[in-house]
Amino acid sequence: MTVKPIPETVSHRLAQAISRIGRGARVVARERILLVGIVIVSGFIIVTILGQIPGFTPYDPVYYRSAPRLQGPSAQHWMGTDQLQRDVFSRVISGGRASLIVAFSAVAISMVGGSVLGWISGFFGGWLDRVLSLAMDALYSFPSIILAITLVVVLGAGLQPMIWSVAIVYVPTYFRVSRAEVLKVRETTYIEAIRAVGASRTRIVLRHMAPNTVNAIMAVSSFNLADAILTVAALSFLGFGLPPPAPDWGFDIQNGQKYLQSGSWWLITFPGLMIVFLSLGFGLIGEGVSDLVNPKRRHKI
Amino acid sequence: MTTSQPVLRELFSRLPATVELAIFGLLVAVLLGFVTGVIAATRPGQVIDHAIRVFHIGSFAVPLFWFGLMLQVFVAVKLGWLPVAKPLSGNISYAFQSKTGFFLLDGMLQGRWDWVADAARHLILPAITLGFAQAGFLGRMTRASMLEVLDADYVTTARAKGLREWGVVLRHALRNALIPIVTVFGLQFAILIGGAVLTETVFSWPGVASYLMSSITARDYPAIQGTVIFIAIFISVINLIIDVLYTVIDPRVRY
Repeated sequence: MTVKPIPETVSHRLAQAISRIGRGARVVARERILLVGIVIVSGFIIVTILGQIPGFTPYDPVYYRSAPRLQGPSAQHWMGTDQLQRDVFSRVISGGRASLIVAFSAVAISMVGGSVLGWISGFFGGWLDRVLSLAMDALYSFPSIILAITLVVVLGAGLQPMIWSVAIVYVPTYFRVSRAEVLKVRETTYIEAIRAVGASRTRIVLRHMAPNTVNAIMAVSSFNLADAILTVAALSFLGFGLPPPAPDWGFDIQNGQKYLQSGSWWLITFPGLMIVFLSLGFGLIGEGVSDLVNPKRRHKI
Repeated sequence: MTTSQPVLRELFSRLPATVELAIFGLLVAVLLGFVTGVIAATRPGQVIDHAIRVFHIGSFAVPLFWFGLMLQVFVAVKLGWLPVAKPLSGNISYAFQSKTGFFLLDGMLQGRWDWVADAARHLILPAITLGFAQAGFLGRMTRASMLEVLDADYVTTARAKGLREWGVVLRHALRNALIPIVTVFGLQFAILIGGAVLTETVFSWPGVASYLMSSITARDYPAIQGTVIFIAIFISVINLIIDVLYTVIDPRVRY
């Protein structure tokens, strides 16, 4: 009996894609933690993007100047006002821009960089592996926040230097994961078979080893985003983030610290809560993805 | 340099404050993390287990500096229970004579118990701040590792001998559960020092980490380099100590 090749028509491909998305959606819906995390994170992304459009926030987050100074939450100003008579609620809504941009770009950079280095290191072994592992361990054993601060000092303040410093801090995380996964499959029979067929080394790494590491890397990256949000917040709290007038959670908290002694709790509480929820959202996605990737984990943890 | 002192001398004079903070932060972390982890592991699947797990996961998401500020606003300013910041009250720090650099120890050595009480009151909030950030991680590790150990045959044997449940948990299970926890804790110590940077900044604590921050603000590059290297060496030494501790907990390990 001969197997007829399935005709590759456009409509067929479309149907395939739709069924794949449908299957993905069902999987996500079954994993409740993952669903909650995705809802939280996408909610934050939408609100932050809308918050950049003038007129979406109830008051202008930067130039509004006709409210009472340092006033607690009220019907007009749900989260109170700061020392420059600005509405805290409006600033909180639009203040996630830097955190999201830096966290996503930094994690993307370190994911690509760390994974590629990990594949190379794990596949080739020898002195290259030893040198790379040693360098990565040295980076890893250093407190991430101090490393990030030091790098920002060297690179200068602003969005781009912040992205690069946070990215460098997280490279070892991906390096370790992808290297470990490559080592796991390197000596398996199917890799040996591919080698026997005569595949080139690049092809073996990219086509046959890299896909095996993707699961583990995805699980790590969501936890990593949760952590990156906190690192970015800490950096901008310490004053390495966006320059002052722009709304930014970390910086607004630092600003609120000055009025802490007089009991102006609303300046600090609300931006901080945003950071907590966003980071929690990524953390929940991480939990969900790990459960999906590794079903055994569910019973253990 | 900015303080017109050799960097190293400055660092050593500030080290005790950081160490004091770190020790008490660690104490809080161990109390919070260990106790909740063990409780959760002995009652898997029950309401208290779920509540503790939510606390563990939630504590990852809380920025340490924000948690410290929240304590300052609500516990110190609003309720007025504890002082807001600094290791000593103004009038006491004026009379205070430093011998060792450890605030609590100095007071005790000189028999000034009012100093000790004052220093202790100032230490509570920073220690909770620093400890809280570690507690979730430690608690999660403890729970996972305890669950594994509680399933082991020797625990069943101990139970079969008729030992009381808590005796089994503490004597037989916990000791073995400690092994993976201590391993991870070596790495965790680096995070503790990282947390100290933020804690010291928030609570105006005169330690090594706040020296790093003030050097950065002053663009004092030799001081920044010196402090970073100092911290790196400090962490290596602590990791060495942890490796040695390992043999105490697990006698099977020999170097």
